[in-house]
Amino acid sequence: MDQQVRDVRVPLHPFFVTAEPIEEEGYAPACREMIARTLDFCEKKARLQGHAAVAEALRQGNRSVHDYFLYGLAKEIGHFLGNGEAAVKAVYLFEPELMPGEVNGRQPDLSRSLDLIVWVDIAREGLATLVDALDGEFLQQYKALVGPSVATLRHFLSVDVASDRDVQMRRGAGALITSLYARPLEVWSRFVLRLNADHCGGCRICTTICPYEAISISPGATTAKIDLEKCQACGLCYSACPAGAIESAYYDFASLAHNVQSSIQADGYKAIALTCRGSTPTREEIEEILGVPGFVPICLPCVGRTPPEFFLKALTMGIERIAVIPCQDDHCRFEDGSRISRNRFLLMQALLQEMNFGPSVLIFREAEGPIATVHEDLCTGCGTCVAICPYDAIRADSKNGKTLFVARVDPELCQGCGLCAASCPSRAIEISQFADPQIISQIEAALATGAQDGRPRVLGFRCNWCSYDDDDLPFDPVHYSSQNIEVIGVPCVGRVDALHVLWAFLNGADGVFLGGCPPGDCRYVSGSDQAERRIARLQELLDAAGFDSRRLRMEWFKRGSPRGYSDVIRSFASDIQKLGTTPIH
Amino acid sequence: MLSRRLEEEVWALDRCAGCGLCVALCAKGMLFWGTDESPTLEKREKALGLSHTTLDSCSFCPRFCEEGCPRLDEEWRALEPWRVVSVRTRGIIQSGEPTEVIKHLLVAALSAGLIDGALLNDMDPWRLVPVTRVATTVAEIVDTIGLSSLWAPTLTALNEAIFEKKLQNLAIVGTPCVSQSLRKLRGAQNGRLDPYQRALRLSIATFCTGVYRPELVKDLLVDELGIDVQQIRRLEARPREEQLMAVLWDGSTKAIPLSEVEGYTRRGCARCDDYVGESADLAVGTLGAREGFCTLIVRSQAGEICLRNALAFGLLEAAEEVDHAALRRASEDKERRKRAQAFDSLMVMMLDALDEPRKRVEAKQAFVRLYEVKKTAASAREEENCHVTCAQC
Repeated sequence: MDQQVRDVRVPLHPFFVTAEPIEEEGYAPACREMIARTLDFCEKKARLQGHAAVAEALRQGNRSVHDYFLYGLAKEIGHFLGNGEAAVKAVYLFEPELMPGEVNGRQPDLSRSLDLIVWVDIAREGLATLVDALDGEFLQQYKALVGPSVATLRHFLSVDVASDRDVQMRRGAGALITSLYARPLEVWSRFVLRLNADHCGGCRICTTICPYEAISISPGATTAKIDLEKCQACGLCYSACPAGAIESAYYDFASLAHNVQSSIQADGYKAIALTCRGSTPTREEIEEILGVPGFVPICLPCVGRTPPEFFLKALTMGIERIAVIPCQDDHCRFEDGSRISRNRFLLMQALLQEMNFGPSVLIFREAEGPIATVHEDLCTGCGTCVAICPYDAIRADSKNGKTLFVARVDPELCQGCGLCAASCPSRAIEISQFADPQIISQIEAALATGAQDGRPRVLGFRCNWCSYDDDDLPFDPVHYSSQNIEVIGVPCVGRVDALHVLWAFLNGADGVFLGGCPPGDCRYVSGSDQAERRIARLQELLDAAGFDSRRLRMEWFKRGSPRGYSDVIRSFASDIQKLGTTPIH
Repeated sequence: MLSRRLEEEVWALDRCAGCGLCVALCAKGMLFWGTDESPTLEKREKALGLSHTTLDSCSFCPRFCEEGCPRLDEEWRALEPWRVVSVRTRGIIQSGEPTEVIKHLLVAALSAGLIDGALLNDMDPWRLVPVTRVATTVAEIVDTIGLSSLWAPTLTALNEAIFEKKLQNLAIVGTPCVSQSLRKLRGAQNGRLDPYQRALRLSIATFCTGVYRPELVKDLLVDELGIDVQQIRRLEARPREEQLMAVLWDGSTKAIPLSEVEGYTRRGCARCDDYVGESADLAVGTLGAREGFCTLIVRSQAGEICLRNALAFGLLEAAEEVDHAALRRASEDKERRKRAQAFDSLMVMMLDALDEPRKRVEAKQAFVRLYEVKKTAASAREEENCHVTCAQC
């Protein structure tokens, strides 16, 4: 292939256009390590003695050593990208040079770049910066290693990014993934759940318990397989597996036990409250249920993911009372989670009684989910909520001789997402637990608690279902404080009103960040679509009002990507740091 | 871009009434109805070499669009009624339906030479979407359906009537917001709007608590009830029975409760507080009238002449009995919509306050007043029941 043609690369993806300035330092040691490991790999494969011999072979243009080198380095970079970026699902090595017919008799072409395709769920700008930085670093070190024969090389690393949608539509780099010349490097580092085949006994408990049919045992196979595309990361299988063959990336037994342990040491509490993201009882309510003041709060995506042995472990650690507070059955985000935790609770209670524990050790209470109510004297009968409700839970009541309709909520159907409350023109709808005054006072409190040292303050709204960070366990309330970030949980980003955002800015926030599930993945069907429309419109208005709309950002997080939200809000906070504070601050 | 005010204070806040006047008045013809509920401003780009520049089509424009918009900084005080009567039609068709009464009024006015044409809403029988027709003969007036429940941008056809058909005395039938636009247009100071002002003779409004997006025809009638579009002859809103009625070509009717249709209300209707045509020369509706009649409110001399003319022709008959209490209740219900308007102005105020330090205190006070957040941040923190999930505890 013509060298000059290859060197002048045309960026395939808009991703490259938006690349930010290259970071000056930071990747050099990592690159050096990767090259060192690759040299180890070549040493073994090519049966050479020492790194110097490999480097010599490379310098002389030994074809096979060179191919080993590129392949080994591709693997290293794949792992690096996969482990560093939460969005990366898989990395492929793209080898058009290995097209049939060209392989034999081809002269080693040392000045070719390493072509990788990175499959991400959603393309983000941060990856471009990382790749640029790596490219520059590797180019330098590669030239130093191989010598003058590659002096003209301009790029060492060529990375194409394929988003989920690209792969689905087979367009751009997405089409390359499915082509013959892409070799998967198998770095599915972004595991939500992983099945350890050595431990799996093929008992089929997980296949029956999974509400999304994401686990299956194919005929003739003895072990189960998890389909990560279908998986919604509820963790029910994790807690149900009798062999411990399923590993969870977060909220697993070890991290729960560790958190309880450290919490006991810090505060000396003797009670635990296990709540679900969807059930948000207040502190007082939980203390009333427990009957003791002070407890270790554990808020999980679903209570059903707690392994039974965790209860026993907690009791051995000195915990005296455990309250299990899941959502009501019809409010469960994972369909069967509440039912399973109820069954498991009964089992555990029977077991504990056999072990001579009193009946008040384990307490079970279903929490009422949030629900919408209409203030009839404020309702203007406009029908906005009727059109917006994803559950058809609101209908216009008969006029009965009055001039206007009145909206009425069916409490059986309402899931408490709050889309209606945020879109009601006269704010006549109240969502229990997430009412306007509650959200507003949370905003004010968050902005009042942050450090007042003149550093930019960032306020985050986070959909309760979008991202399961390890960080959001309430044990560690100061995890964002180094960057002056405060986060407020909402049932859906669709609940966040434009006025909430403006109020945050007026109260001194320098950046507002919203994180939600991508449209199509929304727990409340159309919540993300509503939010997208509302926030895009607000950004236009902010620009028109002479306020930098980069201070407001919304990002999607695919459910179950570990460290998603906290990573992105941190990078947002550093962007805000560059922008500085607003004049309001 | 000079249409900023409409874009920011009307369209972005979902306040657009959908009257279509801005589209008709736009000097450069840059506004059109896209898929949105509010007009779209055409974006044009100029390519010079590799650079693309967005053209500011609103440069040097006298902004007629802002002069006619009924939703832009307007506090509408109702015109004092000259008289309020109950009416029904006489002659071949005996009816108390508002649409029939309006047709009879127009036919009488046209026959007497008071007007030479009218803008009327009608249904396109092929696509079953509302359209506006310019009717210049009695036959054309009688043929229209006079539909008021489905939204049509009535005034978009204004240019066709005034400049193409050269009508000098035009009557316009529409929703109360259409008559608000006309009232604003009549009062506009800009001399360039004179051709419009001279041609406007009469504005007639139907009582209205919101109009529906035309998609409801496809969603409810075609998809849900399984009626073929070709079978539908016309649609009628029956406020008295709280029904939307589809009359089919075979004579049968299908009714949908209005409460089911309510989800299709235009978003802009949430901000409107004029239900009884308070700016129109003549307002017609069923509210306050007994069975077989409808209420007619005369609010200007033009309206009075038109009514007397129709009575003299013997096309209408009037009775004085009207339930004034019902009409009063309707205007009292305004207060509820005022709150929605207050939230809109709050949004504009807060956006201004971001840039303007002096406005901040005012915006904050308005916010606290509207949300009734009385506590200060510090005391709220102590008193508010802290959620387990919130980051502070």
